[in-house]
Amino acid sequence: MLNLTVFTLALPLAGFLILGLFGRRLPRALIAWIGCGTILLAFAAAAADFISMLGTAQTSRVADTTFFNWVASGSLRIDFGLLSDPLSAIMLLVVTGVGFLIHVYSIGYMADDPGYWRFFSFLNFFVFAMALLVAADNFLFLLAGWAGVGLASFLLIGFWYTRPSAVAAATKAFVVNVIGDFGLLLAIFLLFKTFGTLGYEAILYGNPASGHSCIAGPFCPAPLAIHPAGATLTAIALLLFVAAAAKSAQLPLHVWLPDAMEGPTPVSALIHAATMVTAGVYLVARAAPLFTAAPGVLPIVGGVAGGTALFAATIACVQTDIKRVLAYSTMSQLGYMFMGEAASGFSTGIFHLTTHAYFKALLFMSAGAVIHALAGEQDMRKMGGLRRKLPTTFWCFVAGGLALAAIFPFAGFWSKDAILGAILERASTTGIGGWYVLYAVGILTAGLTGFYTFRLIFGVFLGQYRGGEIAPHGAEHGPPEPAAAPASRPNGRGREVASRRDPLARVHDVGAAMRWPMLILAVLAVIGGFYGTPFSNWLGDFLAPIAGTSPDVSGGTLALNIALGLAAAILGIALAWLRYGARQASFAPTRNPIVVFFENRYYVDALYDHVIVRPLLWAGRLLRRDLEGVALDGGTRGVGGVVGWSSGVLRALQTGYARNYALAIFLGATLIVVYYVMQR
Amino acid sequence: MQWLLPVIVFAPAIAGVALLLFPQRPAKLIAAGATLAVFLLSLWLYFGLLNGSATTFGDVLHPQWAVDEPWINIALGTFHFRVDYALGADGLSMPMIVLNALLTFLAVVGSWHIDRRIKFYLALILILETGVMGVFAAFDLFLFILFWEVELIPMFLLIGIWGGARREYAAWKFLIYTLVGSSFTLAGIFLIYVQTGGQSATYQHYASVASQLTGSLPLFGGSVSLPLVLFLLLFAGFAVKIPMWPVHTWLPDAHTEAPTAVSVLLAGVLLKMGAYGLIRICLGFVPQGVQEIAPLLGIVAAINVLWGAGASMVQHDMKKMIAYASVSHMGYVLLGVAGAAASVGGASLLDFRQAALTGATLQMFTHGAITGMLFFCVGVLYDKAHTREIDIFGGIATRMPREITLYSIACFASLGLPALAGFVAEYLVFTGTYALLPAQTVFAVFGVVLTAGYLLWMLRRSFFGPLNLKWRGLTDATLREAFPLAALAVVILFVGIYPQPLVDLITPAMQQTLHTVVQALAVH
Repeated sequence: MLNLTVFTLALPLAGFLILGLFGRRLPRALIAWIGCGTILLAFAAAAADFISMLGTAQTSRVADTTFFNWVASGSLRIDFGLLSDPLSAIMLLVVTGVGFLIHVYSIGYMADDPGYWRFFSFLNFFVFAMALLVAADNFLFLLAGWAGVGLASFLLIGFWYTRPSAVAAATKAFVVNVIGDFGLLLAIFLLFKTFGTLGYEAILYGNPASGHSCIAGPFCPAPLAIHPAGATLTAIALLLFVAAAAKSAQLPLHVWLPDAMEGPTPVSALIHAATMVTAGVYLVARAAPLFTAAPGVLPIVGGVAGGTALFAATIACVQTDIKRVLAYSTMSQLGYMFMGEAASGFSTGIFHLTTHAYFKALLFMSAGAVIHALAGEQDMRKMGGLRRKLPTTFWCFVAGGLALAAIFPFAGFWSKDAILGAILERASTTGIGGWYVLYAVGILTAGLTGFYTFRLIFGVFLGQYRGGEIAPHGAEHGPPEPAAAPASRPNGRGREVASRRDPLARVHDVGAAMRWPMLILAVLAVIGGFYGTPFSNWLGDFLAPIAGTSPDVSGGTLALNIALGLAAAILGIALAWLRYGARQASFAPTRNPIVVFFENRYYVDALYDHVIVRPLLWAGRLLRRDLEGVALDGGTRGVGGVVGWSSGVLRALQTGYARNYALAIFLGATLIVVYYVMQR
Repeated sequence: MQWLLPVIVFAPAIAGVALLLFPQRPAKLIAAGATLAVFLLSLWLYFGLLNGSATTFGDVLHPQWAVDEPWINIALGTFHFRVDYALGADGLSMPMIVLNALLTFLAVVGSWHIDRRIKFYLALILILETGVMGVFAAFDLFLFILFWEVELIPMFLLIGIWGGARREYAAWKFLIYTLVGSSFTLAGIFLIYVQTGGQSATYQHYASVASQLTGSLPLFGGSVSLPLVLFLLLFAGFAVKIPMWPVHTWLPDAHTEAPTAVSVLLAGVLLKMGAYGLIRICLGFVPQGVQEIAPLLGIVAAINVLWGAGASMVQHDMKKMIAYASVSHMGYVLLGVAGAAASVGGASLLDFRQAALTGATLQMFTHGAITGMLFFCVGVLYDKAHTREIDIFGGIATRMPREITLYSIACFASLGLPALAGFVAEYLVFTGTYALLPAQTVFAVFGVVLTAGYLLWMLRRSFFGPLNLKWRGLTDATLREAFPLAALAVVILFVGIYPQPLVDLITPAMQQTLHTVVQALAVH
């Protein structure tokens, strides 16, 4: 079996280095070619791996190549190796495939930005780090990729670094993610302590051929020789989940994701919707044997995920910034993925991850097209009636919205159905009430999803335009940068004479570079779910060697699940129509306490500020000024003073020349020596 | 090849005195040339060691390029005072020698623009290099303490003459803390010399008798464990240097007042002398003393990490913030050593001890490179803006893209981003100590979160956001100014991506030390 994964990593890295070092001097066309070309080639390598994997027997679809020995000290030995197996193959296809489309989209979206080269350089770096994350063959290099995507996210959220809000959001995202990294680090220490290694094969999967074993689990070929205590496994799995929750914006570590929308929209599409935020879902699927063997962890995952899905969906219903609606929607959908995994349907989580990557990237791209057309406007209270002006965008948005709302037969329908089916199956086999509650939360969230998705579509595209006249130039771009390429070519748009009657006269639909990626994703949003239907679950079978087989849903359970899910979604859409489609004045401010509570995001940010940030700063000040300045330094002065006083040199104290104290202490020390030398 | 180490140790001081005879311009070139030559020579030694056979080099019993001549030999009745002129290099000292040579060279380059008594300044820097080299290369305890004290004077003068507004206060504080600490160390050196036979003070002698060093000492009627007393006495001087909480308070003052290149050397190599003494002398020669106090040392290490981080968060001066970050990050070295010596698990946890101690040694090197780079970054900024106040800046990334890019790389290395040097050392320390001192480790790892917080906060407040128009005239770092930054960035990236050449050299030396530690555990 081929393992070309190294090219999937090396090409984006090369793109990053070339653009990062020389990009400032390169012409824009070349920057675009390098930026997109490297990702396309990386995609080709991933596809070649995938095709060769399809031609291999299901039991031997693993290729692990070790490149160099990173650290070897005693029995601690960590190699840099890349793994090609069904899970990493799927992830790499999504990362490079969707990544490529978003790179192409960025050619159009960022065309007028002075930081063009910087943008593509960072974007390439992100693809490299994400590929490392999903292709590493041990937990340590997973962490390296994990931190790398965090850095890329930081750089890209703060891309327009002269905006205070963007920089604040970038910092917040990084710090919250470092908390996740903290969990991952502790998990890695515990893994190494327990198993003496960090390799996936040795810990998770075993290798029947070489006689290596792994943790006893439902799909482990040979049970492990070591039998770690259940509590240890639970601790490891929980720590891994802390990391996953931070990266995938689950409660209570979700606060960074909505703010991350300060980044350029292609970044929101690639990093904060399609790929990076799903790293937590990947991690749980990767460590599926651990999560399965660890007592009591999956219900916790389910609880957190269900809570997040509902929490985020309620907030999405009241947001007015179109990107923030989508951000909360992403949180909510990530909650779904974890819910599926919690119900032991690890492959359903990955399935939803792939379909979500298509339709959410599409929605963000369409939102970006709207923002681009309206010169940076993101508030949907100032939109409306854009359907005629932006027909391509409208239809793409509808396709993505139907997939998000899980309407038959769009992609999201199949994956959300698989997740909810797994939960319902789990509930009916175990008979535990908690799973029924989780299922109910899933259905309720499905209804809310339909509501907020179509509230957004109706608010933006239907009715009358509610905003002002569109400025001729500008979109959401940063100010000129020093030594950047000469100012961009004069823009034809600006010369058009604006009609006074139509404030949207200058608004135009997307250009080719933006249109084609959107159309491709729109097709995927429609048909992308067909590889995982309950009737022929190709993806589930493909992932089974890694993620285990999902609960088999059929017959009455299946029918009930589909009926309930569709009914909830359609009800949500109908409510949205009644409130935002048929009438217009619905975006007026409200005093409804529940809505206010949602609008303030349950006051979580304010709570964190008061409970964590301020006390920490206060403690730091206490340390520095009072404890250190007064107690420690004062103590030293005091000791010096006492010594000086006891040797009767009061004058020294007055002059403040502390060398006298030093001399005194030196003499004292010498006395100790003499004392012991004499003793001998 | 016996002339190699003496050349590395003494050539800088000779060049330092010689350059005083020349006019300013050639004097600068002499300083740069001499430090560059020493650096290249040290690199050559390093790779010579690395390519040697792993069974015959690299630990305290088998130093390379060793020189050993009797120097002082006095008999006072039954008391026999003997000092050897013994030099040598092994896996513990070699990385430090290279680091010292590199940072001194970069410090000379980074001081090019100083115009006040530049010749005298460079001469002191070169004499300082000799003192520090001697500390790392000495293989006799008395010689060690001699070099240790030699280093004090040039550092005192460098801070006191070329420092900032409160330079005299800072210089005195530095001198007193160090002197008081090292007087205890001197006492400890005499005591261990007497207790181990009083015939030889060479490292090989101590290392071979270390595990048998037991018993107790009478003290004012009671009795205390001899290894513990020895450890506490010896460690007093090292603790000040590292610096360990609560005797770290000299460091922020010294750093803030010292000129840039001196801060670089202070943080880059002088602190490492304390860590080196802790590993070489305390752990190597009195392992049982370290053992008895290891859990406590681990707690102090965690306090170091968190205290330093907490104090960093509230600083307004960039340099002071980085100084406290140093306090925080040197806590990892302490933690690694405490873990390696912890008495839990006996010999069965040898691999974890190995990881912890290798990590601690690596941290000495990586912290030197990273913190050196951070201080250079602040220095470049200060030379242009004449302030280091974090809040006064704002958005200057648009004016200084080169400087800020490098500054950001240094910050990310400092906060332990994988693929940069800091991560490797931190990871090894933590992965080892987690099995040995779990509670202390968890607290210390939390320091990583705080580090990310204060460094990013500084980036955000000073460099990003809208440009404060006051700074629109700010110019970017010149190539000469950026050279030390870029050189250190290369080192940091290389070690982060491929640390094995360093680990390969450190491992055998640490294996020997751990062998003694585990033997001592068995005796205990």
